[in-house]
Amino acid sequence: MSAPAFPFAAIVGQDDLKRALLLTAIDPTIGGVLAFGDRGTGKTTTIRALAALLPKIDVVADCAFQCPPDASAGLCGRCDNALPSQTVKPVQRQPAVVTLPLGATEDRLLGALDLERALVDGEMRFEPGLLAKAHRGYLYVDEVNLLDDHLVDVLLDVAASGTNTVEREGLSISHPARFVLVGSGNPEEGELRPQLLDRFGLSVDVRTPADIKDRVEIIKRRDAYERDPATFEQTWRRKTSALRRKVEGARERLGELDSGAILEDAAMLCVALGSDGLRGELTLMRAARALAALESSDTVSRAHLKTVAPSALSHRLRKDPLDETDASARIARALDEVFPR
Amino acid sequence: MNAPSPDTLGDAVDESLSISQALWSRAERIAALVCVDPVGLGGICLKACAGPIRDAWLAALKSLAQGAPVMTVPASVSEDRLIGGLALEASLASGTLMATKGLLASADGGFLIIRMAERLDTWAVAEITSAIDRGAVQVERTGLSTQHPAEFACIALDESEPDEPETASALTDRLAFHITLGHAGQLAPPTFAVFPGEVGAARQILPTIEIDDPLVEAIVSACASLGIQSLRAPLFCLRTARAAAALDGVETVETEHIIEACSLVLGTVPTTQPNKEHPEDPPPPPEQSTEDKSTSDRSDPDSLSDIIVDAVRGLALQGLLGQSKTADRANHNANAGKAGNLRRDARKGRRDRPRRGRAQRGATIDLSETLRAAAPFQKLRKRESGHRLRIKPEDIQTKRYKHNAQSSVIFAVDASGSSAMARMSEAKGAVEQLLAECYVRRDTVALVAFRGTQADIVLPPTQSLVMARRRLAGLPGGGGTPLAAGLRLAHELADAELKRGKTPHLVILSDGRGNVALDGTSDRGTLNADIKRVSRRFLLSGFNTLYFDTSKRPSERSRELASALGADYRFLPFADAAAISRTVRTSMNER
Repeated sequence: MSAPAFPFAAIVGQDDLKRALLLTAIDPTIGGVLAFGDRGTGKTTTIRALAALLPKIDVVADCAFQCPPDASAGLCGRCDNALPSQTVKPVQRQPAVVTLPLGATEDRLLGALDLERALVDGEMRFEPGLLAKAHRGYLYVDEVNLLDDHLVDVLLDVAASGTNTVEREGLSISHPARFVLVGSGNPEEGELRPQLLDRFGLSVDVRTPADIKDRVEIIKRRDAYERDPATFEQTWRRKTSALRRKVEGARERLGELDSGAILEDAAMLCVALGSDGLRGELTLMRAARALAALESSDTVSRAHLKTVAPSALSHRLRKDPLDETDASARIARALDEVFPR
Repeated sequence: MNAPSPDTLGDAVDESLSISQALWSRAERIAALVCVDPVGLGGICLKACAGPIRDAWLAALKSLAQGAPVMTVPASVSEDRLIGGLALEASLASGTLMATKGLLASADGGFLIIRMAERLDTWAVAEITSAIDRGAVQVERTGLSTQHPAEFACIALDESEPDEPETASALTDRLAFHITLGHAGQLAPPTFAVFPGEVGAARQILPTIEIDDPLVEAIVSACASLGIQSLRAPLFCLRTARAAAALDGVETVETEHIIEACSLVLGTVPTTQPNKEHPEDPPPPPEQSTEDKSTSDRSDPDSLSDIIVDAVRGLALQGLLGQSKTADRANHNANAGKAGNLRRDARKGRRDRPRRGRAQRGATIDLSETLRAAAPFQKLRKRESGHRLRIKPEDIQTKRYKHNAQSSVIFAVDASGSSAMARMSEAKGAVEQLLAECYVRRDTVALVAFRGTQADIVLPPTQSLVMARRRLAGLPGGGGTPLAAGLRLAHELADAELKRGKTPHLVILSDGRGNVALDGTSDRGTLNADIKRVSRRFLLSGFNTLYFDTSKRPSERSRELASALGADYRFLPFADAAAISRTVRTSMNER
């Protein structure tokens, strides 16, 4: 009934966005992706395409909170009781890519009273919200710069603690909620709060390719997909599987990478740019490592650092409203200063 | 200007009739095309007043739809009615669980008509666009998440006036066609250019219709030449061309279908003002023979793309195209017109204490509080009725939310005379600094500049630093000082912001020396009278107003003007941007 999503491997261009998403699939602690761009540039397509690419995870069957079957901590109430008894059935599932619709209520996001249960039996049961569904997966917020403030507060709180606690309506529930936050929007329609901006590990600009040939290719592929999604997905399945294996391989290699050489480089770059706080450096390091893993390198090099620097740092530069320079220009300048050729 | 003579008047009427005839045929053709490929084309945004013209067009559409489901979404639809799932109020009312399929799922295979689309709540726009994107709607019931197919064409009926917010661009972007029937003049009787039977036949052959690569390239080229960045536009042209070919009963898309499709879809024509005196005829489509399929029949892509561009531009000059979709239109709040702090949009904001009473339109029932209120009476009521749910209307508690109205800071800057440059750059700096802090409370900043003989809104209310930078770059100064015009425009903008539910704050930068009246003359008496009138408006509305005197020394004139406006007077001759923005910020916090 539901058609397969547009294959990630079939997306033309958008290299920055694709790379950023792959890096977060390799290392979710990088912290999420912010995609800025006009309408009709295909951001949503790419993010939805990511789901099919993500390696499957083990979850407890029937658990609404995606609990891992082999963990002893960070479980939902039901699994906490059930797991020790070994009667739990693990299944493999694709991590969810959950969309938070604009104008969603707090109930929808956090979870709320299960209405039907309450009406039928008079019981107060918790109905999990989008945060529960997104655990160990992705939460996608379109038009994130227009998101209501109180929802932004919720997201910030949950992102910081990794837990969603609901205390109201006679309910008292707590469940783990760790996910990669992906936001997209048009910067002309509003600014993000710096606290929210900071939560995003990487930021990218998405533009329609200038090259006519690329545009034509995009249109043709989209058209072919729409006419026969199943066949189109089939055509690209091998490439999709290859990409998935690359991500899985990169995850395994991540722990063995040697990144000592560039620690100082990263610090120097952040100081040169005057980026706020330490999160910039952390993200820079993690992203560089993930990229090195993706490219099957043994060590993390300056080249990796230079590639990820713009996406890791553009949104962290202290804004001087009277300085007209573009963020990417500032980063390019700093890169030249810190790493003279 | 001379009064038009009877002959020219007759010509003018004829011309307007012929335009309206053309508009009507175009509207019908679009209706037919959408019926051929409803899902691929997304739908139609129809700008027209409620009335016989719109009704006639909707009737034409329905007859072409041949029995496909047609669902209508009211402006203030509830979540369960739109998406489906548990029908809460109906369940409480009847005492048994009632499910509703929802409008989106019910429209599957047909049409979803949205009345007063410009007033649609944000969450509803998001749900509808999500359904359009995925062709399905996600329904949640007792922890189960099921998907129902929801493939439909969306007909957004936009009733907004020219200066009011339009339908959300998130929605209109997904609709291939934008028609304006508002000025269709005399009602043309619906002449069916296409018969329902033809639509049915076209739908059958649509999946098999081929389109050659050069034609696709021509479309993409043309869109690029017209400066259209969104890739949805060429896709819509492509699909429309296929639908047009299907209606013609041919197997392959021809050049004429491409040209027609692009003309109908591409309403965006940058810059050129239509020159009404010398309307350009659109170039005739190139000759083609249906028998000869040799490559010479396929036009060279470059010239075809040029032909498309010319055709689209030609139509604009004839005034046949509706308003161009400017990239500037920000996503306006659908709650415009609902003034006051605690808005009808009771879904947003922090939870407030629940209140007792019947479920109002738009309010959400606070179920747990309602059940708690009903709990003590359950045993008693069991004897009265056999229903499982023993809830009476008086138990119902509704949820209330509260959120602070956002502030809207409006600068009115005197950009006249020699010291204009310095003043403007201070004001620009202050605007940008305020914007850098604006995200905190979702405030917006706007800038009105007055110089020469008029006042202009240089920066409409925005939260976006990016937009501000763009608009404020390189503002000119000099000329006379149309003081009354500047104050009046700033006040009008403040009024508009108030209507949108925001709290306006005005910041005036001037030395109080006006010399140009509202009518453009430099008559002092008229100017003074104008200023008096505007001041009265300021006083009546009581907006928080700050007046920065930019004269070299504190001037009596400025002080008088400030007090006439009911404004706080400040003297800052060598004002720096930071000082201005600090003062504004403090003044806003005190209110």
